Amino acid sequence: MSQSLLELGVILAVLFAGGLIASRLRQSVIPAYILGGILLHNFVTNVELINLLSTIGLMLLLFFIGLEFSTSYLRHHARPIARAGVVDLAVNFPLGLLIGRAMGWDWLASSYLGAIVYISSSAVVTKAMIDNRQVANPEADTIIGILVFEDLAIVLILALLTGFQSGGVEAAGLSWTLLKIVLFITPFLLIPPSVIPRLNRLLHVESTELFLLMALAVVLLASALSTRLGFSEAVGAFLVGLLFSETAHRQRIIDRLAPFRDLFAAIFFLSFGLMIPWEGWSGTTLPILGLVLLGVAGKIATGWLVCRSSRLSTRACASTGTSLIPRGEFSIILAVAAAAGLPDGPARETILPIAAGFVLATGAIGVIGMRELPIYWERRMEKTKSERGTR
Amino acid sequence: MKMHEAELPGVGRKFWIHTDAGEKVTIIRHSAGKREVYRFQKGEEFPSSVIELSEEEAREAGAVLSGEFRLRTVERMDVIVKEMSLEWVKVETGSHADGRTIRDLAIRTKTGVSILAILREDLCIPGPESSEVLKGDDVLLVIGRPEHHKRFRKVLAGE
Repeated sequence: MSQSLLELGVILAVLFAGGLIASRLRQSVIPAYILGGILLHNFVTNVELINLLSTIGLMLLLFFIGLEFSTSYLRHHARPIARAGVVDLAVNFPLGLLIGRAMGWDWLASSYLGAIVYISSSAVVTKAMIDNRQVANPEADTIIGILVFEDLAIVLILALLTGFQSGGVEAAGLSWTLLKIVLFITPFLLIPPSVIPRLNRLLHVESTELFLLMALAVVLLASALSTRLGFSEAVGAFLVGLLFSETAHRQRIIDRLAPFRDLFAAIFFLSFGLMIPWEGWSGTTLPILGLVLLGVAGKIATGWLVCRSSRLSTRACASTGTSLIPRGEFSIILAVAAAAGLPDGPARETILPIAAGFVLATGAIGVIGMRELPIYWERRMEKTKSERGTR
Repeated sequence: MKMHEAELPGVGRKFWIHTDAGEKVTIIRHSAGKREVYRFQKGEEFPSSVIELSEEEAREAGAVLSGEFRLRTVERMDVIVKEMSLEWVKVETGSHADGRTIRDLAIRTKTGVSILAILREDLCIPGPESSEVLKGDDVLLVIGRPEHHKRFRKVLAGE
């Protein structure tokens, strides 16, 4: 018992120290948490406890994505969001898929890799945009639209991939999985408005303590149901969050549960690093390098393609692509789901370190790029101005 | 209304206005509380300056911008109030003022007081125009310093 306490204490201390250093370097905290986990791999013995805490973190992360998901935004800008989102998916998903196939992985494992490469990090990108005072710029709407699309896409991809994983990929398993997705997910996406007032009354619990217990219980039970149906627990958590986001209690749930999300999500990121043994990195350098190169190029190309049609300037288009480079929480969630469910083999063994290297590199490149690009651009503009002046 | 509004998921809400001077001013209300004011000069995609305000500061600045701001320094208010007073003054029927407009009487330039309102029978005329004709039995609500009030009474009587 005292050993577990010591381990948890060290974990929290490492999270704090890593987060502090990351903030000082004006980087996202997520890569720092992962690095902390990688460092602590040989130190933590009570893996079961950490796994449970990190699963709660994963559920709360996705629950909040659902809770803060803006259906009204999606409805108002459906067409531009769909257009940009589909381009983003069509450009970036095949990159990871192809590299997976090139490494000799099966279609399912390669699809996981495709999704890992495809999905940008809403958390890292949004924070960097706010820090860089980029949110009022014309390209911000495009970037945020793509992030909103990805938030929804990740849940469907998770449902599909984890569904196929448990149901099998032969015809019967495929159709059964698709049927389950339709039956499980669509009710949440098409909530009849008449349900909301009833839900409001149901959630109306005066005591803050009981309210907290009820909200957490619902999230955990929905996630458990989700795994029973053969999907990732994240799918159920997201759907409940989406349902609650329509109620009058949304803000209260956010206020109550945000500290828990912060705590458990940090442990989730650390535990991801924890799962990677130091010797597991051997032979992953080349795939990581290839993925990072393609992953950066893919997002730049996406920014360009999406931007061209919306009559934004070269600068705005470069900024759109750069801002999409950081990968983070979603790629990690996918990698963890893949490692948990894939059959034994090279894919299962290497997908964690590959995803970790990819997330760490793209996170750093993206955040630094977002910060340096406007500075570079300003300098260039001044240069052209002064050149014009001397002429 | 010239102000536009849009949602920025994960950030907050965005408001923007194209000013007559040809600039775009964008205000971001972050869900975390802080406010930012971005100034985009004509044709520029980069903000030329950004002002960051806390919720509290934004409220004060907003009140000043909208003209609702009142001096909150209590001591100074007391001094001002001590010097100023409100008085109710009746216009006598057949007096000099009866039947003349406020402008004719040159009340503001000659006396220094302001007529805040006129009570006429059951009617109240707040902030009367200078073209308003005063009538006998009107009750005027007047603000000014004591010496102004003295001069005002003289003007009403035609002295």
